[in-house]
Amino acid sequence: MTASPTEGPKAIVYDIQRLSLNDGPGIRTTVFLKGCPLCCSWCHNPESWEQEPRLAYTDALCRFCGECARVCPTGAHSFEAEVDGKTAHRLDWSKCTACGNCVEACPYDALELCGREYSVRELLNVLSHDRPYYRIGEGGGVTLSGGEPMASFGFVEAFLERKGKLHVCLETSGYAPAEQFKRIAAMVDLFLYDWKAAPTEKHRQLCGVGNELIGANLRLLCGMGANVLLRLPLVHGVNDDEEHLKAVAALLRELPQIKGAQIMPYHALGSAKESRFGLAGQTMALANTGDGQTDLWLKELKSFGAINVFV
Amino acid sequence: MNNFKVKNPRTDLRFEIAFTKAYREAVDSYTHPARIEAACLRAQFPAILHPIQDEDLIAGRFQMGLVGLGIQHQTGGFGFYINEEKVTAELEFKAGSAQYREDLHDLLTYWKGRNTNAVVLRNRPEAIREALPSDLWRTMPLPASPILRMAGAYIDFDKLVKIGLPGLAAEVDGYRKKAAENGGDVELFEAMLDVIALIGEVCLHYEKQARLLAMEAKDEGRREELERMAQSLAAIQAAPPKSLLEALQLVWIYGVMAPLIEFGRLDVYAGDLYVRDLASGIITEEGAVALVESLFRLIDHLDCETDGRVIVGGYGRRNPENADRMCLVAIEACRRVKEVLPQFTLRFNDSTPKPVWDAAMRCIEEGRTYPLLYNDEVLVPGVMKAFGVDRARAETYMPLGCGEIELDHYSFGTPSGSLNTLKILELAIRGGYEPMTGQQVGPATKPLVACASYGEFLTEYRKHLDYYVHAQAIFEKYEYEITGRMHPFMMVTMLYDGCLERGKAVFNGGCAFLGGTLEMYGNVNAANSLSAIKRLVFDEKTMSAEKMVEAMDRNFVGRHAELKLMRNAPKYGNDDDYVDSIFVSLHDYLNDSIKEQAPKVGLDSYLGVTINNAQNTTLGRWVGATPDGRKAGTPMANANNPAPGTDKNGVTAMLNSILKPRHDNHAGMVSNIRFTRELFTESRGKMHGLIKNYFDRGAAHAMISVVGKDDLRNAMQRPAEYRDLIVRVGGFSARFVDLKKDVQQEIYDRVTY
Ligand code: SF4
Ligand code: SF4
Repeated sequence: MTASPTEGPKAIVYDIQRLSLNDGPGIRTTVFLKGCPLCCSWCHNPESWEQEPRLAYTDALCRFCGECARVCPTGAHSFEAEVDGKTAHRLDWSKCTACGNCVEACPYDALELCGREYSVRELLNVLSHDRPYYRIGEGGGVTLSGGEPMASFGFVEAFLERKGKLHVCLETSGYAPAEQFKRIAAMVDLFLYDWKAAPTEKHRQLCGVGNELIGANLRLLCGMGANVLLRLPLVHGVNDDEEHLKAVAALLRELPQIKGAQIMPYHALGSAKESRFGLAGQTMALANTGDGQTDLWLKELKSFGAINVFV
Repeated sequence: MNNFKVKNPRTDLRFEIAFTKAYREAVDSYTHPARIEAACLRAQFPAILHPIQDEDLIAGRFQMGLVGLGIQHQTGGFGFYINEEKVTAELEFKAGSAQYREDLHDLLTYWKGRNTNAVVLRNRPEAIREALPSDLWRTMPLPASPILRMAGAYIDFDKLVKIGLPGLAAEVDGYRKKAAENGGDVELFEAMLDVIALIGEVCLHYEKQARLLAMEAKDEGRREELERMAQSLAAIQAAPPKSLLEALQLVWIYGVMAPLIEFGRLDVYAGDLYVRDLASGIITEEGAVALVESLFRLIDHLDCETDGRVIVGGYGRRNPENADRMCLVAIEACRRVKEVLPQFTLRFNDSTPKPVWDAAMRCIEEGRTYPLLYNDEVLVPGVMKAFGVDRARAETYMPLGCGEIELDHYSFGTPSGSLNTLKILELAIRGGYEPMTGQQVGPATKPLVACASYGEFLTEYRKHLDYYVHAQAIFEKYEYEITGRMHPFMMVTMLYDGCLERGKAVFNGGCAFLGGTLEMYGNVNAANSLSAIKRLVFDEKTMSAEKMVEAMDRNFVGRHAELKLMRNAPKYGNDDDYVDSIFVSLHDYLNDSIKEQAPKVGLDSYLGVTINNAQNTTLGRWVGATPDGRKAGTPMANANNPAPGTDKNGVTAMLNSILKPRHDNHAGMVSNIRFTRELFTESRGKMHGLIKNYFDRGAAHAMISVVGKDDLRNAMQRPAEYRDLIVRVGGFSARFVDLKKDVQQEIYDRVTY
């Protein structure tokens, strides 16, 4: 996040997903902001961890024209003939500085820069195209997601101040200074608040940080009367242990203001993205959530006394 | 040419030989075209009929010959036709007696110059010969091509069901007497009576067959079905249909013999009898669904790649309550008959009952693509303006074929032509020079390199467009005239408004409203190309016209920087007004100038259409590289949809774009939308809301494909064409082509159908 004197704070957006149906009520546009203080082992979006833009390469679209190699200042692209007569396009990620030259040169959309700076005004402009869809059904809006949107706090706050009547959900890990949550609590229509693991050592082990701050912020928001929906990313054999599920149930009883808890079953997309972003080995290769597993989780949570849990 | 789905197709061409002989005898004996037509129909029926099949509840399967009499190429051919390619193949690859082979040679040479297509082309007006050198658009680079046919007849099935064959015969006979008194065309009416008698004979043919099969049937249930079939066939020979079964049986036999490929407002003509049958306990809802399923399978057996329309719903129905009940039956039948045809079509509006809408959504959600949705609230006022008719008439609008609109048993709309606006742009860029053949064609204009502004180039492009549009309009009018002299098409004439009263065949002064349509292909790519020209050459001046043309001439080989710039120029489908406004104004320009042709050439209407079929691919084959970064020979965008892979801002932006064109100056513009099944089923409420919102915002049409396995496989193989495909993965959505192969495979495996 950087500040410019004329345009106010900016943030790096790495994707804007239209027709988002599962990130809050109605039809939404989900804006993914780059940068995250956590590093959850099951993360779907490892490309969002760092705040800087990153090169993305989709091999299926490459036509081996060689333009990228021609313009790359660091020699990250190379081509090799393979035994079967095909050409292999190799990308040495360690050499890439994300300068964007090859993205500019690639005629076939095989290369993209994941992450581009947006001002609040620019973002609102882009979102204006989707406004007709926010009227559908119960009503939709925008979901700020990440990464961790709170890592771009200045931008998020400025966005919320200027959003007008737009319905905004904030998807957050809860890992940010309490002061910041206090400042925006009243402007966010719904918090999609992740609850990932318990106890705190386990949380630290899986996500890189403990969960004390996250718990405290959750209570703070509930205390302030904010609308909160818990989100439970569950990975079988990783964080679906009894202790965690019991803690979830206890939390839901303790904070009846919470609208409910949504199970987010794990899908092995993060690992598939690795090669596209050159992040090999940085996320766990885990098995997809098996058939019926989600129902088992639901049952278990209910047996521990959890209310309002859904998928 | 299609392959009719019959169990035992004919294995030789004896029918074709016999038909040729019958035609020769007819022209020796008669001069009146109606007499000749009646004789030819007698040569055709029952010869080309096929037996009732086990799954049929309604009788009537047929296989048009390689030589014969028809109305449109989708069923055999137009007028007197011959499929030379297949007849030649029979000669080259099959054995046969010396006599048989001699007969085949004879019919090839006999029909060469006599088939309707050849006669129509040969006699076309001198003035348009240069603009329309041929109708071989599949194999030649043509900026414009006539499409010879009289497809899309929507006859008055409601009247047929009401008065039946005896009523029709009585009416025709009445006019025959009047004609005799007033010196009218008695022979025409006599020939019609002969044709009605022939229809009765065909009913009798199947009645006997059904009785025989019933006697042989081992299964009790099947025997009863066949007996009911036989009874209904007997009944309709003698009286108007009195039950749903009789109505559908009559409609089908009549339709097959014409031969028609559009089956009208099913809910209107069948609704009353269905409700009556229900009340009297003759039929159950389930039984009715089974009957309609049988009708739909028969329509599918025509195997024509387009058309095969059945329409339900909408304004302008005389019996809305009964029709809506029939509508539900029809939608359920459509859901169950998982075939390509019929192109089942729902017209809807603010008063469409919720159960009908919900049933339609369910059908779509299951991946049937049908019903195709047409929004009356937009189309009725649109048709009023485009066709210049009153509201009551506009309420009878009927989509046919690939999406052209006409007025039920009143107007005629598709002798047709195709206009390749991208090819024409390719020519305009070079001042009329055709780089593929090295010839100068059409008007000689200022090439792009000599134009000082975008406006100047646009003016030059329009000169080319005007040239072909005008030629096509002249051809259309001419085609009606010459067809009118040659072909009375009596089965259409008898049930088209006003023809009997006027005592004239449909195209010989009978039809009250002779319209025409011009199919446009390439508009989206042309607009994208204009956008690239405007942006790069004139606004930003980042590329000279010379450089652009040179890059295209090389099909971008070694011109990657130019390709990149051209591909990056704004593209239709991203809610970007820069290019969307170019598209809308091109679309309006074309539609308005097509519309203006009608009074000039003497048609009641002449309107542009932007429709769905494979011509975007076939015609694209003969267009070189274009300024939108499209490579030589690759497909053009289909209908009102972004060019493959160019809509990068997601579904919402795509919908915003395709909502921009207006719908009151053309005769049809279709839009296709694609979702994966999971997206649809997991968020049903939101998706239904999305579709409703799309129509509330002024959309006229949607063909919604809920994507299944085949499409996912295609997307894996040709990712560039499927950049818009969004799939659900676990708790969120992702662009399918962005996923890695193994994940794509996993999603593919998960889709279970
Ligand atoms: S983005 Fe990376 S790979 Fe591309 S040109 Fe710059 S350094 Fe090279
Ligand atoms: S420029 Fe693009 S298409 Fe060409 S080789 Fe590089 S990645 Fe592939």
